[in-house]
Amino acid sequence: MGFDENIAKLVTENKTRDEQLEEAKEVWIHEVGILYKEIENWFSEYIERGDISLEHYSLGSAEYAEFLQHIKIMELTLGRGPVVVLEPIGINVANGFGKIEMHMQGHVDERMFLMLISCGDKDFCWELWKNNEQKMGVFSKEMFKQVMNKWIEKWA
Amino acid sequence: MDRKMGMKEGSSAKEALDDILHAYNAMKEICNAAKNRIHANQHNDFAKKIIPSKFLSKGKADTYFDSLEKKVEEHFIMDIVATFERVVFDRIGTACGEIENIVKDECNQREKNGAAFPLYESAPNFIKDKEDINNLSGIKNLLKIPRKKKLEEIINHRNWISHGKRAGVGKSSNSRIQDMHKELTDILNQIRI
Repeated sequence: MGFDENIAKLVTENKTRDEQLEEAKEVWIHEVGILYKEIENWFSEYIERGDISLEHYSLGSAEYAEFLQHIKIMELTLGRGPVVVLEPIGINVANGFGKIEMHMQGHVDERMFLMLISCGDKDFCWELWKNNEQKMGVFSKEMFKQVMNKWIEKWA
Repeated sequence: MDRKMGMKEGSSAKEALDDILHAYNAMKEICNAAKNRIHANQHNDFAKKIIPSKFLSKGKADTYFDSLEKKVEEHFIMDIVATFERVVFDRIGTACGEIENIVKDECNQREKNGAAFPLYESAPNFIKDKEDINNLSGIKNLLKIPRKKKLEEIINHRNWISHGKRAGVGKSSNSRIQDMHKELTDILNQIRI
């Protein structure tokens, strides 16, 4: 292959990598947003009654500037007491397209991991992992309630 | 961690990793004790010394401790990987020498038996030496899959932390320091160090 062809090939390859990265960033921002909305819906009754409140805080740091702009930390205050924190880590992760760390405030040592994984060609879903070995399954309202209830009984 | 603490004279490589995990657990306990003391009274001098005022004034002592505990773990992850690297390199030179001697003996034996193979005199030159295995990737290439993959994940996580959790450098893993301690110890067992 000649020099010109090689340069053209490199340009195409690098453009593709850039495009892939842009796509991954968009997916991450989009999927975190969807998850947050879903959580809000799951607990809408509690939120309306004031039994659970939701707050969002800026990330301390992020892999890309867009994440600082569009992605927040979510905190759920349960019964005006303990706080559950969801902190998006980013897309530079092993075994997934992105990761959120989840813990009860003051107990980060027992944090869990929400991994964004592929569920088909274009779809994504969240899996809850206790650690690197123990997968708890696809993240759902029931699973989230169980985890939070366990934390409440243990620490609150 | 200080080299003396990490690996005392005569202690084994595995003990060096154990010492780091022990130190991490000790730091975690110290954090917990401080947290409990501050929970009992958020307005005393001790609390003011430990928690920056921007956290204390908002009643966010727990948030501060969470970030502190994560930082402590990250420091010890850096330490345990660095110690693993050191204890392996400390022994690679000797291992390479021994392997070279085994190959030389075998070649001499074959020559005596009239079964020398092509380039048999150069066979020891095919052996990697300390200069060839000069980083963690070199160690990784000595391992079998899936250990190789697990070490790669640990190295990536270490790189992710050490490069400021930036885009494109290393990858965050869900492994905790306890998992890494176990994995690195298993690798030391596998490679007989």
